[in-house]
Amino acid sequence: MDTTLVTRAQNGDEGAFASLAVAVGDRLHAVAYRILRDTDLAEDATQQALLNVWQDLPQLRDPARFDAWSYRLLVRACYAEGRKTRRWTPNLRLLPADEPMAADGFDLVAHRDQLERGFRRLSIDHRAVVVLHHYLDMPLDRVAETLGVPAGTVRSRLHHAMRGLRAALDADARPAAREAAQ
Amino acid sequence: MSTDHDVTRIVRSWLDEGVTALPDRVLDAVLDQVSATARRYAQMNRFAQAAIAAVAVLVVLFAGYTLLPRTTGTGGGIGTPSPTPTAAPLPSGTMAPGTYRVSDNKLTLYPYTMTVPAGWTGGDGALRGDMSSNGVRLTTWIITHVYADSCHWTGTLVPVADTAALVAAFTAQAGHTRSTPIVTTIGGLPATKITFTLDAAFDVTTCDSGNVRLWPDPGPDEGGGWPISPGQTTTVYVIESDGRLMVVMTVVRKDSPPGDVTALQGILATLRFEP
Repeated sequence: MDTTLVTRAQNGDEGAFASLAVAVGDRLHAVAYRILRDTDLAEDATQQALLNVWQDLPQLRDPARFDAWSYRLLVRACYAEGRKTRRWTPNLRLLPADEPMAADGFDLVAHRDQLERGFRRLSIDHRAVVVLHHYLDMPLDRVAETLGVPAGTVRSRLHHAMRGLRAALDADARPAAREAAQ
Repeated sequence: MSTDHDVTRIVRSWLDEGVTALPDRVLDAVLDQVSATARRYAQMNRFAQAAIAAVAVLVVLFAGYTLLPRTTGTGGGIGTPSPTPTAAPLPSGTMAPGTYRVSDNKLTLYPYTMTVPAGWTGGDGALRGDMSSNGVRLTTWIITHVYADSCHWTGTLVPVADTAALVAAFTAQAGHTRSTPIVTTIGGLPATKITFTLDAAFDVTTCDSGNVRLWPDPGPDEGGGWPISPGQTTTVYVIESDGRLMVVMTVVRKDSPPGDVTALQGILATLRFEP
């Protein structure tokens, strides 16, 4: 991120903030959607996070940390959105019959529902770690830095989350395996 | 049974699916609210300036009245001390010249006041100019940990519980240069002064996350912290209170205008803590 732009926005330059919002808006929204698994909630969380960025920018002491800081505000906004609704409405999506399989041969279509269910059972804390690490490719120490928690906590959350997702995938595979054995 | 590698691969592919673009209407709503907030803030600032001016006039009138020689009694009256003008809370954004009070306990162990001339910006202290190039700054920081190595700082946190430990940690810190600690006072409190510098030619890209960091946010919260950039000089005054530590900091750059540096020292001289 251009630190000059961040500094200008910190000093109240609305134009600089607009440029910042355009630059980071898609990325924040993509992350919010992947954490919350709901388009409307993700839009609300992103909107709130961007407003918080504007409001709290003067308190950001190191403009070079803008990216990590903005993700942290976004995750906080996701917590708030998550609390607003106890039961999240799943996004129903019609899957085209000829949806391509993943390049390495496994059938992602077959796993979507299990992953969706398994992921929704995770807390926002755990989802955030999975998304920052596996979607944004953030190293775990940077995830820890972004979320403001110790690296050990991040490793533990990731381990727990991936174990949950693996259980969701395996639970679905088990009946099929039993059927095949009969 | 899926292997860990399979699960990771499936999860990554699944995460790659789905929306990415933020709808324009959401962005428009954000920018509309920002504009409205900025307008309200500007109006409030104008109102606040008028209110402060009105209060100042009343204070002067009141002080003048109480200091007038009494016509009754013997030997004239002894005037009561004139009240100290109320310092305004520190704003975010442009500051009118005047005295400001900072009491946010996330920034300082004790409230303090400082007097700034025209052209300075508030926030977490006072700054002037562009901090990414030649700006100057005065601020404060609560400190619970420092990095043993400011360049390769990952995993080098050292907890500090008192002035001696913090000064020792600063003195031992690798990655930049520093002055010999000097016992002094700042804002009416005992303090230890140390100056940190980073050579203008230093290549920060060789450091963790591409920056040289002296300490994290208190906690420790490594989501934030104080970086020192090439050509920058950060002077800290370490203050301790009841087992807690803070620093008053001034920041100047190699190319900072001398007038701004002088003004920064002037502001520092006006700083007064309220222990």
